[in-house]
Amino acid sequence: MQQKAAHSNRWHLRDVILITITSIFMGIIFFVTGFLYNGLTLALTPLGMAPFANDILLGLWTMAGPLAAFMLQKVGAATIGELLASAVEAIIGGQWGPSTLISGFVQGFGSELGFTFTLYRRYDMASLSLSALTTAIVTFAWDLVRSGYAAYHPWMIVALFITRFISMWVFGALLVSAVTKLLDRSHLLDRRHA
Amino acid sequence: MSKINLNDVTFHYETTLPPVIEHQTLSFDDGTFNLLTGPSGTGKSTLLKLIAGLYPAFMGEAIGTITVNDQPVVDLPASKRAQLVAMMFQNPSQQFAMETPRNELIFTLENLQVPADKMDARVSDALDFAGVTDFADRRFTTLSGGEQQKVSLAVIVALNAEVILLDEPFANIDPDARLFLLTQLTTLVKKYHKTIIVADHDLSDYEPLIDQLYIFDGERHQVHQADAGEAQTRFAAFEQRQHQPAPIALPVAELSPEFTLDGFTVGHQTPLINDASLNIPQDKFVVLTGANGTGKSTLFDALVKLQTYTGSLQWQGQEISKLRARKYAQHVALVFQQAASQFLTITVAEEIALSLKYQQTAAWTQSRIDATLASLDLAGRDDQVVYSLSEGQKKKLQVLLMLIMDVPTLLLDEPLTGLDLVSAHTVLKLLRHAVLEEHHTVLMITHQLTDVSQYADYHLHLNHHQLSYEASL
Amino acid sequence: MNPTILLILVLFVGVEISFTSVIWANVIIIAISVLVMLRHRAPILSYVRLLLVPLIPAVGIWFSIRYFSTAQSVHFAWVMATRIYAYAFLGGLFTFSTTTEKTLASLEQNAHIPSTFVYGMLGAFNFVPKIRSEVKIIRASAQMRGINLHFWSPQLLFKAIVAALNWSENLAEAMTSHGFTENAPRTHRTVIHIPWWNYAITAVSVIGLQLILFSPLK
Repeated sequence: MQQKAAHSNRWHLRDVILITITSIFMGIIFFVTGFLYNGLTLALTPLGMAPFANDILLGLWTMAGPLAAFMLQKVGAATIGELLASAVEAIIGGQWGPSTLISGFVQGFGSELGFTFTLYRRYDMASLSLSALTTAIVTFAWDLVRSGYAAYHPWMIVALFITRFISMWVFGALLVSAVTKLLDRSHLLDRRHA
Repeated sequence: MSKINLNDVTFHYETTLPPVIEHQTLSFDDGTFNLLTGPSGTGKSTLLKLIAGLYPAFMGEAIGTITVNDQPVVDLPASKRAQLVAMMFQNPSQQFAMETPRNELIFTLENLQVPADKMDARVSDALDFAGVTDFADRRFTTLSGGEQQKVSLAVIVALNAEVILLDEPFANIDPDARLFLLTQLTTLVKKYHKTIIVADHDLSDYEPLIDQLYIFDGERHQVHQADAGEAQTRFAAFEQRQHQPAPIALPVAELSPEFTLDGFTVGHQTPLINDASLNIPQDKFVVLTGANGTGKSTLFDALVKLQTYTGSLQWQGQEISKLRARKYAQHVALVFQQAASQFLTITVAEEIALSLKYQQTAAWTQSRIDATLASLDLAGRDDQVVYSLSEGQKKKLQVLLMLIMDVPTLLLDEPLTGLDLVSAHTVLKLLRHAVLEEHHTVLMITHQLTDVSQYADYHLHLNHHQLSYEASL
Repeated sequence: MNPTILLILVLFVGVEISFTSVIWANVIIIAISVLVMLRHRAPILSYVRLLLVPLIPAVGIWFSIRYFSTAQSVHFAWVMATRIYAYAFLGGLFTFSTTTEKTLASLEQNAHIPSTFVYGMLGAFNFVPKIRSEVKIIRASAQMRGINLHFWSPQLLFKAIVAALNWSENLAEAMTSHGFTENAPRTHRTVIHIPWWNYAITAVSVIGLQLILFSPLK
């Protein structure tokens, strides 16, 4: 009788715990960026550029999706990973704000698309970059409505979008890729993938 | 009558790695108290997790069959298996899903689909038996390691499992809790006819309690049952290793202090160290001993600003809580109990290169490092991933990395755990050299005392919340 | 109120005010939230927090819309500013009406969210204090090796994931040995019901919101 742990698209208990703990870690590590955000907003408000503060840092808050996709390599991992991260944010931040969960879902859906378009076969810089792009597009469409971005001048809308994409690429692709390279080289995920 | 049977079991973590357990055929008798011993990192924990059905479900690959009550454990759903085989884990704080002991017991009974009206009685009986009633509604995060292991026992009692496995359960807990748990376990065998297997490298107190001793042989990847003669030899050898204190000097008043404690108190809920006042001398090798869970590591945490304290704790005349962490880290560094905490990169060579890059003096050259690697039996592992080293190898590498940094004062939290005697001597020699030749200060926590007195200058002991120097080690 | 019903209501209201531009709706939502918080005896400090935390983003967006958007609409500037406050106060309403444990328990029993997610999250939250100290340990141990880690350092996140991998493995094994079977039926010591008046409140709230949103109120 040969027994071996199998790999599937189902979420197992340890996957949920792993992604939740990782999200709590990120919440605690990125806590400092809250001050950064407020400082940036204050500095940019007199120029009417306050929304840029949000878009410059947004990549940090959308990292959980691609990271979960990379670590678990499952269909739906980015969406559920980001949704878990937003639940963590709601609980740790002491604010079950509806906006946190809704944005979490929108962001997760956005990053998921990047992996869907590569048929869940590629987990590299290409799929991460694509995912950063789809996240930027989807979340931007949502912010056109929710955050009133549609009211701005066209040049500002374009500039906001470019800023957002760069932020998502730097954190969601570049940083995630650096972290996952370390993970790959450490072979610590291999036993789980077996 | 045998309760647990292993039939030609072989287990690998990965196909490419050598097996941890090979062609193992073994049985454990019904209603017996069994002790499984052997060097750490050999596979005791793996064997228990196989019997508990956690492996290969969670990790690795297994061939052969394991049965409890003639039922193959892998075929059972977790909720059925838990009522047959229960387990107490090595890390007390990493085994509970809920916030409080009572809720964890309810969670467990819900998993077994116990009807709601039957739960409360079963919960309170289990809490009582395990001595948990007093803190049943406190949060786990406020409980000590010993209290958490008592909760683990309560869960086991609530499960009412016939087989109870304990994986190095006393590693982080105080002696009183250990004694209490051993007594209750004996009751479970004698009165309730449970079958118990404890994996432990520390043999103290077991001899009168157990029915059988099993020994894990790391070379052959197999466990065998010790006969009466072998068991006796083992226990005798362990007793001897325990007690051979040699005389050691007491520090004299005129030594210049590295650390000064004055009314120093530290602890989470209740003080671990209470109102301590003494000096720890500079340029000396001081060994700190004390029972598990008494606060030795907490003292180290306070010394490196990872733990708040009350009273005064000074480094070279400056209050430690007021020092800037980044600068202070260049003067006083900690070799963490968890070796992996020290690593920042992936391979052995990268770790060494990193330490070389940031070392404070040029005392360590590449050739000196190569020679030391060889003496530590770590040569030729340049490209190996640090996380795949054995625990002992991790420890040795960790000590070397911090020695290369050449920080003036080094605190070491159990650097000798999992090391064979030869390696332990090599590490102690390196530390002695750092004190004598490079005028470093070394403060080391250890449980392994064999021959340590040949290298150390002083012996600091923590007992009953107090620190004092001892004249023997 | 039942946490699942309340969560659905709060999410619905949150989404709907994102798509509409009625200042009064936002203000009334804030007022109702305050009333609910008063009923649950929320500490004074929580109101102060709810007023201060959104202040900078709200002022930022007010200025951006008022002076730098194409229409420079005063009305829309106030819509956006009050919308941010409405989100925050809806959060306050939910937070003080229930607890994380009750919410997750209700999501398991009433919303039938898979138990793997419910108990996986609950278990992970026990690690919060450990995670805080682990971040300190990672930073300190890097400093002892001469390296200062920042929030954007890959090593910091990598070491965090190494710890998360270890802990998640240990906890999942322990929970399994406590009889937890992924998504298998479980009994419940406390069965969570949804009282009829929960549906009534939900219906009244939703209808009330539509009346405000589609009234002459701006």
